[in-house]
Amino acid sequence: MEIVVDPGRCMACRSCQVACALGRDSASRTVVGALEEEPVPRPRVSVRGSPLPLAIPEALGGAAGHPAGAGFPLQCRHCLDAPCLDACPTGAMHRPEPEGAVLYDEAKCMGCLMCVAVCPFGAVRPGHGGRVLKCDRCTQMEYPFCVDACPTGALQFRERPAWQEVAGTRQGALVKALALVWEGGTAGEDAAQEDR
Amino acid sequence: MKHVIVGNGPAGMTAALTIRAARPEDAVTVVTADEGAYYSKVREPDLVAGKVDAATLELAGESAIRQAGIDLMAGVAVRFLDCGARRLFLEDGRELSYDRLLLATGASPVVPPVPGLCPPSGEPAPDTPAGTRGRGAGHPLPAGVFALRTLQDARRLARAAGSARGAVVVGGGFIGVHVAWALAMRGLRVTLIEKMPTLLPGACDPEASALIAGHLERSGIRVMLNTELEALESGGDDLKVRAGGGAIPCQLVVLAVGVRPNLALARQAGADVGEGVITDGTLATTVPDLWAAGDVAQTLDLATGKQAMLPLWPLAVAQGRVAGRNMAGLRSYYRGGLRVNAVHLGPLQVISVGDVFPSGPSARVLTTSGAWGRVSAVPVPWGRFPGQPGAPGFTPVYGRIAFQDDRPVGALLVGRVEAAGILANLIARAIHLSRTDDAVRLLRSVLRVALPARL
Repeated sequence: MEIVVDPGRCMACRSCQVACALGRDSASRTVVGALEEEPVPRPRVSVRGSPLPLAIPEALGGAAGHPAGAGFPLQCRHCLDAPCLDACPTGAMHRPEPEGAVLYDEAKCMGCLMCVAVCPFGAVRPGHGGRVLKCDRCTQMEYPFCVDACPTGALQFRERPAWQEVAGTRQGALVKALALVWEGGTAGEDAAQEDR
Repeated sequence: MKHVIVGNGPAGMTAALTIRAARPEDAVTVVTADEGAYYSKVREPDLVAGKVDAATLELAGESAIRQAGIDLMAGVAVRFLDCGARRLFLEDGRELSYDRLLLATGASPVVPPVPGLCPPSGEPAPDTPAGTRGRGAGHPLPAGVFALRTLQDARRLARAAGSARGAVVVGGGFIGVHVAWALAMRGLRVTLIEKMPTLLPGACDPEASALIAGHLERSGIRVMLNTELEALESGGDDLKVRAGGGAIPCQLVVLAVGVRPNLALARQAGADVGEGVITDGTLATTVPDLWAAGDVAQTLDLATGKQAMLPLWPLAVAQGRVAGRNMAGLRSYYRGGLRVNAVHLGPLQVISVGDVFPSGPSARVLTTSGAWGRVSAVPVPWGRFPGQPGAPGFTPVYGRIAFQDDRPVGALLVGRVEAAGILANLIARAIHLSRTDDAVRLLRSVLRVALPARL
């Protein structure tokens, strides 16, 4: 089972971030309690984009060039050719099952940050006390907190989609993008809008 | 087919495991002068600090390696390599024949040629004949002087640190900073000397260096930049380090002035050697059936597009995998790697990737304070307002991105480093940014700082 993202459904409400920080990094597990905790609980998933009809100005920390109302929740993708596995010099990053989740063993970590420096998604982040923070798909639980919290179904927990399925959707997007270029106008864009 | 791998570092062991996985019917032998099995050299400072024991450094024990079907010959150096006859002559008189050989002999710490360290002739220590035996075979270091490379080095240094009061670390690179930090954690009075004007020369600019140095100083480590080691005097129990015109008394000296590849075997084999063993895209050397990977190999630096020595753990693993696959008869290419340096000392995090100091007419540098304008970066608080500089919990934020034309080639992040990997991949994939604004946006979004629209 994997956490799969349907980006078309994400409205950047950040419920997954709150649920992850509370569920996985907080002692009190309540929003009010978490505000008092030291260090501040941190999520292993981050959402890019704005929940408002207006894009957040970049000067206020909004993501550059991201359209309003569109978001993308990003957590560890558990890459099949995970660069963090190669980069880890202590064996803290490991993959117990072939093609399974990439897990992180805090006891083995020395805090060298090599995983942070190689993750192409920026999904491994420095955490508290010289350790790193990374999604483990909530392996010890039935269901990941972020998926539970998602109100729109943008985050789903299911078997990995077959590559044909993924390729199919990507091809669809590509066709639309090409239509946009070829027709040189709004036709493709309209199609994309309708689709959403 | 019989594969022999010289060296038990990340390149050698990854190659051995790759070959075994790809061709279970092939025999794989790993020969190393090192004791022990497969362990983490990067974590040795933690052992010196007394934070962990030697068992924690182990990545795969001897029994696990044997279980993987690898014949491990530890503690025996290679005396001679005869590529024509495809035979290796070991120090203890044994001989090994091979069909395919991987040189993963690594590198050895450089011993600076100063009085008190090298023989009076002033000649730097020659390449040791054993290749993997490394430094010390010819000219053992004086008592109280250490270099950190093998597990044995780390154990010796940890033992000596137990009884010493003061220590001098020579070299402010990645290893030097971490060893100084580790020794200070044990309560030693530590002085770190670096001959260049910045710490982590090549990876850090003056701003980032000042932040690291300030953090070290606050932790009780004396940092002396622009200070070159002149001589070492030993009298009685104490050592005296002469540097920068003064003398520093101490009981312990650690040399961390860089590494030199162990090229003796490659030279015996007749392989082309530049700074390191010259390799092609499959990591094969110029000699048939001879591959090279890891710290001994000269490989492509993706930031500069030139061949370079990049003695880094992640690249050694990647190279070991490529060499192993090619040795097993699969076709695999090494696309090159990036220089990566990271410092994580308490709350201070610094990551540097690629070429931070590009040269040439098209080189440009964008920083949060300078070059294209001067602004002070205000950290956007994460969860809670971080307070004023100097207040507890305040982390300075600083960033630098270096460009060749419109292509980012290097990045240096201080304080907020989580986007380092994204930048590293932009650099590695040679992504072009079309406009200057994009570069500013990039810096702003990776640091999450408020910057004006134009720098």
